[in-house]
This record gives sequence, C-alpha cells and structure tokens, in this order.
Amino acid sequence: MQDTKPSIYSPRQTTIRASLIGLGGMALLALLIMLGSRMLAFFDPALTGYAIASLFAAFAVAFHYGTWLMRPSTRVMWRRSWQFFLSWPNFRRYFWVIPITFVRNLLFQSFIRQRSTLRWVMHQCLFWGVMLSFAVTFPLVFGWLHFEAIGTHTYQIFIFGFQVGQMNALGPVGFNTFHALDYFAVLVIIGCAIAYWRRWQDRSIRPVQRVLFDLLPLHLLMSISVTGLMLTVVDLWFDGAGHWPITLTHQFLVIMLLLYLPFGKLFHIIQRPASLGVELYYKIGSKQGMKNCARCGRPYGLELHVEDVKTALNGVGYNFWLPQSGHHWQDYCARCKRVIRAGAYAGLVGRAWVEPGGLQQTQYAQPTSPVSEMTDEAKQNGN
Amino acid sequence: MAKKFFMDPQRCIGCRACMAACQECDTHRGVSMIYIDTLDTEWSPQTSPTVCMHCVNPPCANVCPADAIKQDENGIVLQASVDRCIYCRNCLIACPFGVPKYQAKQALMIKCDQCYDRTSVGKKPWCATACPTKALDYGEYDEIIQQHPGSAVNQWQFGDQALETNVYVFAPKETRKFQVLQLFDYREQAGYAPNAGLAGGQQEIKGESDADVWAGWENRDWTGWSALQQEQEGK
Repeated sequence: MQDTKPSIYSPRQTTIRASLIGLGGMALLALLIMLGSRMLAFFDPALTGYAIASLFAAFAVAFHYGTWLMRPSTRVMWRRSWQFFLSWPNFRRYFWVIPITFVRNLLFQSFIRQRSTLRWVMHQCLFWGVMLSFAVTFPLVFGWLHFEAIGTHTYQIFIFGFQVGQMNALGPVGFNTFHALDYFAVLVIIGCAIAYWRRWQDRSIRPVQRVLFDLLPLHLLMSISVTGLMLTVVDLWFDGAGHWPITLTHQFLVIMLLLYLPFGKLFHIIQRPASLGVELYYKIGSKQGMKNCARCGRPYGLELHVEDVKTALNGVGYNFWLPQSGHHWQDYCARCKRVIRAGAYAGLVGRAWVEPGGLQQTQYAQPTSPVSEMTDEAKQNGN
Repeated sequence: MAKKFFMDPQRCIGCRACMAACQECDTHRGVSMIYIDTLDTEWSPQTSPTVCMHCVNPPCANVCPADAIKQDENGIVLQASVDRCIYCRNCLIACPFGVPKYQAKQALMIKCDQCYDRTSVGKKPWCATACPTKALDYGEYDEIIQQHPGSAVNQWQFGDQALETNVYVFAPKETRKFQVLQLFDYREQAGYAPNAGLAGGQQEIKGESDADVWAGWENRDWTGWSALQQEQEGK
C-alpha cells in the first residue's frame, strides 16, 4: 500500500515557513504603504478598509505562494527557471524569450484564443478591466498616488510623494482620469456578460462548473463593477442620492474579492507568470537534447525535463527505478508504457490472450457465460 | 459505496467505439482520452485499452508544479484545471500509465476524468456505455465482479514502487497485484518477442504522435526571434 502523501516538509513545518513568508509579504506591503504615502501624510482615511483588506490579502497571497513553492515539483521548476534566467550566456542568447512570451501569453493570452475565440474575448475583457482597475485603485488606496487641489480647476499629481505634474480637473485629461474606473468597469461587465452567457449555454462548461470556484468570482466582479458604476451615476445625475449605502456595499464586495483572491480561482493571476519560466525552460532544454524512449527509441521529451521529473517524483516519495531493466519507468514514452503494460498483462494471462483462437484453450479465458451454462437469471438479464 | 470503473483487456475487440464515444464529449471535442494500443499487429490482432487509472495517490498530481490536478471526493483524478495549468508537461512524463495528453495549440493538458457530467447523475461514462463487450465497464463493485471471471485487481508494482488505482483490471483468479516487471520476461511466457516501436505495426494515433505533440513548440511563431538569433550568431 501507499504511504501517506509524502512531502519534504511536515505540514507543521510548511505552515510555519509559509506563515513567515506571509508575514514578510504583509510587512513589505505595510512598509511600502508607509513610504509611498510619506508616513501616511497622503493616506486617504476613507480608503482604510480597503488598505486593511489588502494587507490581509498580501499575507494570504504570500502564504499560498510560499506553500506552493514548497511543493517539490514546483521547487525543481522554480529553481531551474531562475538558474536559466540568471545565467549570462542564456540571458544574451534568449533575451527575447521572456518579453515575447510575456506579451503573447500573459498580456494577450494567445493560447486561450486557441481554446475558443469567445472565451478569449471574455478573458481579455476581464483581464484588462481587472488589471487596469487594480493599477488605478491600489496606488490610490496605498497613498502612492495622490491629488491635491490648487485653486479651483487645477490638481497637482503626486506619485510616492513626488510631485510629477499638474492637470486641469475639468479638461479631457482630468475627466478621463477620474472616470478611468468607469471605463474599466464597463470592460469587466462585458467580460462577465460573455462569461455568464457561456456558463449558461455552453455544454462543455455547464456540467463541470462549481459555485464557489467558478461562479462566485464572476458574481463578485459583476457586482463590484455595477456598484462602482452606480456611484458615478448617482453622483452625476441624482445628486448623490444613496451614495453612502452604495459605497459601503461596493467596499464590502471589494474586500470580499481581496480575501477571495489568495484561495480561489483568481489565484491564477499570481501563479500564471510561472509559465514564463516554463517557456524559457523548454527553449533552453530543447537545445540541450531530446530524450529518446528506452524501448522504441523515439524522442518523447526533453532530456533535462525527464531527469527533473524523476527528481520531482523522488521528492514526493516515488521511485520508479526498475532494476531488472536498468531504466526508470519514466525512460519510456507514453505509448511504450501502455504497450509494455499490455505486454505484462499478456504475460500474466498467458499467450491465450494474444493468439487468435487461444481464448478457448485456457481455463481462465472461458467466455463469461457459455450458452450451455447460462443460468435463467443471466438469460433474463441478457448476459 | 461509490461506483467503480473496470477494465477487462481480454475482452477488448479493438472496435474503438470507446474512442469514438469519448470524442463526442463537449469538453474535449474531437479528441479521445482513451487509447487503444495494438501490442504488435504482425503477431496478434489483440488490442489493449487504456483509460486513466485514477491512482489513489496520483503521481501526475504530485509532480504538477501548478497544483492544477485535483482529486474529487470519490478519488477521481480530474484533468488539469484550465486556469492553473502552465503546460510544463510534467504529468505526461510522470504518469506510469501513459495517459495525459498535451494539446499543444491550446497549451493545455487533458485527461480522462471519468465523464464527471455523466457519472455525477448516475450514468456510466461514455466509453463504458459504448463498449460492446464490457471490456470497459462501470458500476457497483459487487455487481460487476459477478459478470467477469477472475479477480478485479487494483494494485500495481513498478520495481519497488507500489501503486493503488481506483480503476480495477480483471486478471486470473490468483492475481493480487500486477507486476509490471513481468514485462521483462513475458516474452518467454507469451512465447514471443515483439518488435520495438512502430516496426511492429503500432498505429500512429492522430494528435498523439511526437510530431503533433511537439508541434506547438517547434512551430511556434517567434516574432523577430529567428532574425535576431541569426544576427547574433553572425556577430
């Protein structure tokens, strides 16, 4: 029987280490808030709730990231990626791999387009809407971005406490700056609408979707965008009627999202950049040579990759070394693994299985219910 | 007790109805997650089916750096979650049964998750429904073992490594464990030494050949990449 799920650290050790990493992440963010807002001089007290939720989210994100990196397989991949990234010859030769992959896979997500165009449009709307909103709101909440009025029409812009310019609050730049979140909210709403449409009518998603994992983040994004837009609407056309209840609802929903971020589906935002390392890994690994199957001799993977997977397997307590053959089970390609297994099965049940006509000759391989021995019950069941 | 999946390779007639049925599914349109392998067509017409064996402690999930492969409450190993899979292909190398498939264009790993949409409402998976000989079957353990001779075995041994699977395979009565090491002397037992590789008439399966699997890598269109490399090599 299998041992219990193996791990290089005990659960207790993992929790302690990850908690330390989490505290580190939280402390780092707190420090950046203090520095960026000039010891809270530019901190907006109205946004305190968001800032506190962000600190909790920073802890949880760093915690989850820490436990994730402590997985043996992730460690192997992580270390190898950095090793490749930080090597000077690789840096010179493969300089463009990271930026190109970043633009293609992380910004424009071309691989999602291959899965479905509608899905890609949906994901692009959500991605840009959410990312740009984050880019506006986090600096505001942390006091990194700060506006100060001079006179009636002019605002001074401060970034990290440094004055970077002025703008006319009533001009087009000012208008668009103050309504940037509205535009992003519209993007998110379009994305959510497509996502709801797909989840409602696409037969490939409907059966496997889960409420907490797939639908909750959608509901959150949608309701955050709607309440955010409602704030603009009531302020512009309804003299701010109901502003406070809507603000509180909005804030509550955003805090829910921030606390959901580290655990649910949205953690992929933080995890996904690891695919950059994979891209580099394959680019460099393919130059180092392919691994040929020990049985059929055909390439089935990178030599480096196969060795790393063996290391990762050992790290989680597996050992597929086959002393009789002098190979690892992982030295065989997928098809040979299946064919060898079928061969082993043939060895077990004897040549009867594989030779035509042999089935009738062995005791084991009798037809399940020979007609002569068929019971009445079996006849009724049609067996 | 949860229903279980059963394989009886002796009954496989190689009709590939299971593959056709599997391809019908909306979640992976046109791609079969079942394999029908011929041992060696020059020697025998026998085929061997392979579905995901749903290991109790799955190597694929344990080596996934993105933690994308999860098990459900019945021990079914689900396919990589699309938002997490970082297409590293660790699972392809690690899987002891050669099951996961890599979709190069979509940058995604897919594998059998025992038709979650059907089994969750009490139906058989598509392949087991379509199989005309019950080489693939699904149901209550006690009922299914009545219908097959031999014993249902879910213990495997690869060298020193033991594995337990949620899928049962029927074997002669005395069998307690599949020793995959027997592969190295089965030639004598079976009285035959099969040819290696494709020479023995193993068929290429569309989408599964190495050319297809690696297509996404080799043919990836690196904008300006090759020009830049040539320039650097020129220097």
